[in-house]
Amino acid sequence: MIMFREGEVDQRTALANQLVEEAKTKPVYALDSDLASSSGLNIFAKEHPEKFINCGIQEANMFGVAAAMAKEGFIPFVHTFSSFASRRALDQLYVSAIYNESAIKIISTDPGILNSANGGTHVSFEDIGIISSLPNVVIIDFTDPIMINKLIPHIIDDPRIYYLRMQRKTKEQIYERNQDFEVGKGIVLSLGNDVALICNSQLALKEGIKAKNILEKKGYSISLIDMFTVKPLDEELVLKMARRCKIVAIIENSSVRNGLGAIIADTLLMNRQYTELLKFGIPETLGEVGSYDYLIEKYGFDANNVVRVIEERLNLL
Amino acid sequence: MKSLYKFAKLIRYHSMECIASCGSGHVGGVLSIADLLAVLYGKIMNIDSSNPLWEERDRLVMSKGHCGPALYAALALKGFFPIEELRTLNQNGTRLPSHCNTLTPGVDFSTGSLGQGASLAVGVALALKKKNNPARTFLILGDGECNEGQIWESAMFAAHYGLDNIIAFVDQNKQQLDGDTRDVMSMENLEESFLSFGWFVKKVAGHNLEKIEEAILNAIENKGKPSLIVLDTIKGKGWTGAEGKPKVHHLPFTEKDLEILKNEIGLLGD
Repeated sequence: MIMFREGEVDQRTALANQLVEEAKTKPVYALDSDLASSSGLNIFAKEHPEKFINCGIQEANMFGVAAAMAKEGFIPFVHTFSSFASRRALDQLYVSAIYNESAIKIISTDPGILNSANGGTHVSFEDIGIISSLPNVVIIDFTDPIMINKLIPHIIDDPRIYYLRMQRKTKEQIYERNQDFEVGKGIVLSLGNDVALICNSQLALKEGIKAKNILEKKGYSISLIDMFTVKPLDEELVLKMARRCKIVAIIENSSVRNGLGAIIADTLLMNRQYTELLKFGIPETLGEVGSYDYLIEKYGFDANNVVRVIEERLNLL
Repeated sequence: MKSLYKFAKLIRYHSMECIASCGSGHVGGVLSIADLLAVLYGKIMNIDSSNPLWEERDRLVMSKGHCGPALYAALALKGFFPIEELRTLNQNGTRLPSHCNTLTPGVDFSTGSLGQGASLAVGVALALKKKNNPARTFLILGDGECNEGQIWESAMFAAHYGLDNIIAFVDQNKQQLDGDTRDVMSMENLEESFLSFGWFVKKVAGHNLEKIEEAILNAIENKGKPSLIVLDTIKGKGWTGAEGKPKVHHLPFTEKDLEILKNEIGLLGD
């Protein structure tokens, strides 16, 4: 049975704890922009005060400082909300970090609709579109705290720039400690022949699981994929799913215009794989305040709508 | 000191040779910063041209990245790469683009998006402190560049963290691309602004090598605060085609102009 259950710590605590551990033996630093109490990096600051740099409310400067520190041999993790990590400090990310080949690790919290409680100014529907258009940045969307614990050591040792989407306050976990994770490889949670549901983020995967359960009750056979690496995309797995299933449906906590679904669509077409494709996520729109359930339903990536649209399409085939 | 004046003349000549090779460039700012580079590379900086990434080296961030040719001339004269390579500016496949780039041996950071070099420099200074590395960080800013908000973010940051291993310079040549700085975006008194941010500040005649050196040695002695040296300079200094004239940020510059410049700076017969 594929399901989320309450784990021990939330994602931000898992991240902070892992960084605390890694910083004991590696030159790991954490930089925050007056959000350490929100990001959980205050835990890191307490354990490694000399390795924590509070940059104040200065995202642009923080990205530059981090880029320079990476160039000097440190492994800096910088945190801000996704809206600021993608939009506000974009040129600093491009010039100071990417262009200077400085392997900073960006913790981008509460992407998509997840920061909606702060209002439309604080959400980033387009961050995957923005960041995936830049060369040499790996994009990860953490699914649960176990994944964070197990991937962070690898991310530290990998000399690439990482953009890490993270939902701060969820304790829910789907993986066991013995699960292996590899950057760039999707996780096949179930293998079926009618519909492949490809999801990124815990939020989307939860809808994917619900949709899978409903569709299976209706007699369909479902593949469910946790595509936690958005870039570089696991093209091999996507193509395999497209060949195997009648429909490929992407469920994501980001814009359907330029998010995971768009990247997958491009991959399929460029590989002459003319599959029935459905994208569920956030339309091209501005942010607004609202509960997660309300917004998921409004934007149509709730399980019920996913099932409805998939059935409609299956009936046309 | 006589040899340092010669070095400054050579930086002027070769940076303009670099620009002449592609016919135009950021003439004004290249000429206004040549004397500072002569003092830094001729007397102050601890560097090793055979090992550009030597861990103990002093770092330099040319945040006004459009003045690449001036830095390239200083580096070539110090042996980081052959002088002849200066004539490849902006050519296909060159290691010398007009804005500073880590492609060039001896260039620590790619710059050009103004304001960003300041954060890179304070980040380096912080990193050096964390490593207990006694090397210094030199940061070169344009006065027009100080329009950028990021300059003030980094100024606040450097003072907050007591980064006394950074010495920043503002090349106050009083012009930016569209005209005089006071007309485009007046910044009132830069010295007072940096002072109020908690920096040690000194203003010197920016074409007087002795005064520049003295100010740097003073700044090195100063502890607990970052240092700023405002260089009172003339945009286009050393070439009659630009010196003292309006709007000399980016100009055509030919091989013929180079011959005139050679005469004017007194390199002939040296």
